[in-house]
Amino acid sequence: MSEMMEEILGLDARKLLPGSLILIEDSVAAKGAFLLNYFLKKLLAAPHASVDEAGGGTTRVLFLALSEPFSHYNRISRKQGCNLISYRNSGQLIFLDMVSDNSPGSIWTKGLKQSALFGLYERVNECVKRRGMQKSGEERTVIIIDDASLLEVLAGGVQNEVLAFLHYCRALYSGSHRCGVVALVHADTDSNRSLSLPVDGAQSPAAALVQELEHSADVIVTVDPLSTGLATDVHGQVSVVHWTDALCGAEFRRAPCTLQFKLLESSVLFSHPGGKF
Amino acid sequence: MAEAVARLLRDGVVVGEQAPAVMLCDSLQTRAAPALFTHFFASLTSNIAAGRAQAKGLVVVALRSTPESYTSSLDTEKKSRSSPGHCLQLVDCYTDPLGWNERIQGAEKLGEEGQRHTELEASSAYSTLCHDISDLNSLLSIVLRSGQAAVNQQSKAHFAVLIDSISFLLHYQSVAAITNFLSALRSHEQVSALMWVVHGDLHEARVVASLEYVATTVIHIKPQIHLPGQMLETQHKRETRHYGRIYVRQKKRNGRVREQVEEFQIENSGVKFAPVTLMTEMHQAVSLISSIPKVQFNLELSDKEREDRSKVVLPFEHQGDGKEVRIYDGRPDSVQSTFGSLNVVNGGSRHPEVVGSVAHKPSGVGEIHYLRDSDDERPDSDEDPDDDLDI
Repeated sequence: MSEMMEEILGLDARKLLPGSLILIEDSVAAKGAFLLNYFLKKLLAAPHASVDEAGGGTTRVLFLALSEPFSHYNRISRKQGCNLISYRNSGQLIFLDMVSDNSPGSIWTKGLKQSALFGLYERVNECVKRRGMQKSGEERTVIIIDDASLLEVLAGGVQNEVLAFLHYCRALYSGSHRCGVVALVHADTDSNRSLSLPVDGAQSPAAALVQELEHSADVIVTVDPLSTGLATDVHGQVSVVHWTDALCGAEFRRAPCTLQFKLLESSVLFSHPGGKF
Repeated sequence: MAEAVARLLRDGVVVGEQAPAVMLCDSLQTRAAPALFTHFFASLTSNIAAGRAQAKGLVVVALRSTPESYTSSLDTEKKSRSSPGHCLQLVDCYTDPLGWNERIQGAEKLGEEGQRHTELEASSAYSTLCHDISDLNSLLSIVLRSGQAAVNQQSKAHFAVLIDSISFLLHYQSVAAITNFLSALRSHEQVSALMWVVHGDLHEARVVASLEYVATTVIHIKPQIHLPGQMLETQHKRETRHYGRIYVRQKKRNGRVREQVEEFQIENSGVKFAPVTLMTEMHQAVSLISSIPKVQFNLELSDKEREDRSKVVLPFEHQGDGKEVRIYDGRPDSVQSTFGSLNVVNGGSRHPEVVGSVAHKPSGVGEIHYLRDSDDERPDSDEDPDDDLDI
């Protein structure tokens, strides 16, 4: 991945504030799933380079896959030089595959039960706690959620359940730290979002999930199609807004920044708007 | 204006009245309410620590931010000065707002994991865990119990209550229940002041309005107003998210409502407030910025250059040579006139001495002698001078 993205995102697994929420918003025209791979690789691989530094320790990743199965992520990560299977075997990656889980007791077949997400949280909690007991309490856990919008489907459209679930993921203790959460949501599936966003906000009848999450997110990464129209060699643009100092530290606040990206077979190229890849 | 709000929180309740209540309302455009909340929280804690405030204790209901974020700021405060330890009590609605953890632990029958968790809870001695925010009565009693603990069980001492997000409670509660809860807090005899945050764009207007009725002071946080030219300047700073305006609406006890506007800026050290930049000043800045195009060479004048330029005499200004310019219009001049003194009449140029006296002028200077036909004709009259021409 390009250094440019690292520069504007400032993601450092060791400095990630506990309990922070990084929100990836995408749309139909530009999918943001490639950023999940970026986060996955960055979080899993980064601490190895700096194991001897103070505050090193590994960062565990709990990947909650609701839209794509493990094989999909494994294939993409392998192309980027990151073997998910070995991470999974070492216990650093916990992959909760909700897609290919078709057993009778699975979360989908349970259907629209009122507290479907409580069941899911039970599993997440169990995974985080079980692993946390084995090793020292200093390591951190980041929960990556592939498509929080699907959580709403899972909860039978009850938005509060989704918010509560995400809140619990952030509040969850792993060792002595709370978990960080990286979640992907679709910004354009909310009905009142696709209409013009009310300027004075208060007029909207009920706030959308994305809006609610935006209020509590520490960093918002938005993936959009190119603002100037379609182009053959630019696939879209990513803008990063740091609302709190969760990623970049208080000493310097980063300004909102936009990069254009191009998806290749095995990697993603970033450039400043109008620049060369 | 922000100082007045901080004073309001500090001074607390008047006997026989309900406690003052401050509401912070923001939207996604600024998202500055948590920062302002922290600002007022810090000022109130320092006031309490110094004994200036009416409240002797402080209860923070942590719904949106982690309880650690409040205690850590207190810890740094402690390092700088020795403050009484117990004055801050936290109601932790963050860790387990819906009782999910409790349910899981109940299923596990408090296994090894559960014990560790309770250890963690116990380690933060100033916080009380709330397992069910949907039960406002129990939340109210927890808040009041924490308040008692904050003031060391003195039944006369006051304490302040800060709630860091009402929006979170509104997910699970009706507006009526929330306003009831807030009023109950306000009217409690030991509560000296109350403050809460609401995210205005997440709720209907009527919800925000009914919460406003409970509050005595409402702070609406809005983004900074940008004029077209000013935009350039702020884009240059590229920190537009950390600027904004607060509209403080204060309701006095006599019913008077006053609204004031102030600008704020969020910096690393905290929030800074400043009076609003006047529109006239803004316009000046705009005209200065917009009228001068960006070029490589200097288009502006220095003071010396401007002074030099004012001394330059332009070509048409030479004619008078300092004296008043007179244009002869044919009538006898009251002032000295060359022609009058020479007694020139029609065909006067025949007198050689007259010509001679005229010719005494410095040589090389040409003169035009114009003699009018008659004096009864007004100069510049409208009638055609060639009217009587007979060809």
